[in-house]
Amino acid sequence: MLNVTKKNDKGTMTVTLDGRLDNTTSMQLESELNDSFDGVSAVVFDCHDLQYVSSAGLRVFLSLQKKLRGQSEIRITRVSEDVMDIFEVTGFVDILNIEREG
Amino acid sequence: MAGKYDTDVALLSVTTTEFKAVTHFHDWKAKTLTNDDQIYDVATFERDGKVCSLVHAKIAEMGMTAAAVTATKLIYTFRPRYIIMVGIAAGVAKTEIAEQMYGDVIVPDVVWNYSSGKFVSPDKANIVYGNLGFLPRSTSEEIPEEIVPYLLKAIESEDNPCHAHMGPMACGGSVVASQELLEKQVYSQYHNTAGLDMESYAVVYAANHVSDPKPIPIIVKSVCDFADSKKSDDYQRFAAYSSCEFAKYLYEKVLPMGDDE
Repeated sequence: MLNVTKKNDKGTMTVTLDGRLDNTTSMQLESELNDSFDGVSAVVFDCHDLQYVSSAGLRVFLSLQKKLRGQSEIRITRVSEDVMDIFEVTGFVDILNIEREG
Repeated sequence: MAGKYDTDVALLSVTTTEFKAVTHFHDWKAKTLTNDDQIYDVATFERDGKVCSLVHAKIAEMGMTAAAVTATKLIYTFRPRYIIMVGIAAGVAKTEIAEQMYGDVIVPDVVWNYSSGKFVSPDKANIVYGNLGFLPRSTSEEIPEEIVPYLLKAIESEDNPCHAHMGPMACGGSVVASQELLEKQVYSQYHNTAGLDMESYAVVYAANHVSDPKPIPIIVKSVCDFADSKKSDDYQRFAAYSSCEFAKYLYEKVLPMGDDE
């Protein structure tokens, strides 16, 4: 299960992820991110309560990066140790802007 | 395990990136054997409350020759029920067949060797590269048909941790970074080819042609580039990881295991 909340403030869209980002919930997140990003200069994922991300979940970040290339910056923030381990082993730390919790 | 097999699952990888991804998913212990310079890694996993055995071997170099030798040694030494090759591949599917992204898993139902053939003068060939002609003599090996429904079930399952596709895997002796070669030598023979690698044909050939009990070969490779001039290494770690994640899902959740023949 994944709870997704979005807040748009002065061109920065903050997407809060709470739960597990797996195959099923990645489709849910993808659908949530289908909106227009007109006027959005930065998309910030708050991952404080993200417990797990599968390869299908990682694919959503790549898909968004492809969609927003040259338009908006993507930042993945407040990442827990367990999820950071996945970002490190997959090389995502060299592909996206990812910030550890704390 | 009981029965005609000695090991439940054998894994094969080639590159250091693939090896690192394999090691991430289990608590492996190195195993060496007298008169064999190959280092094997052994581990266990649980399936329906039973402990199952897992062995891994890293192939020393890329390409079909080393892959065939290592796969054969692994099969005869450990007698696995399944031999699964994990790792990275080039995604080559055209968008009208499947929209692929980096990290997407390719699980072939057939693997074929596109590099087998004869170089001739251009007027005697149906594939022409400038002043050189090529007469393809491709050969193919099929994944045993009894396991394909399980692979499809895994691909379509909501529990599947990855985005996966099924389609032919083209295998050849060289790294490909040319759209021209893809069009002339790959798509012209199997228009729905889903991926391109350098070992899968050898592994499936070894599994299908050893003496009984034959293991069931499965190829699980993920897209790290698209075999074109934009080829880079940026997504190799993600691709290696997703292939191992899908393979683990297969043997821990989907493939018949233990006594369920």
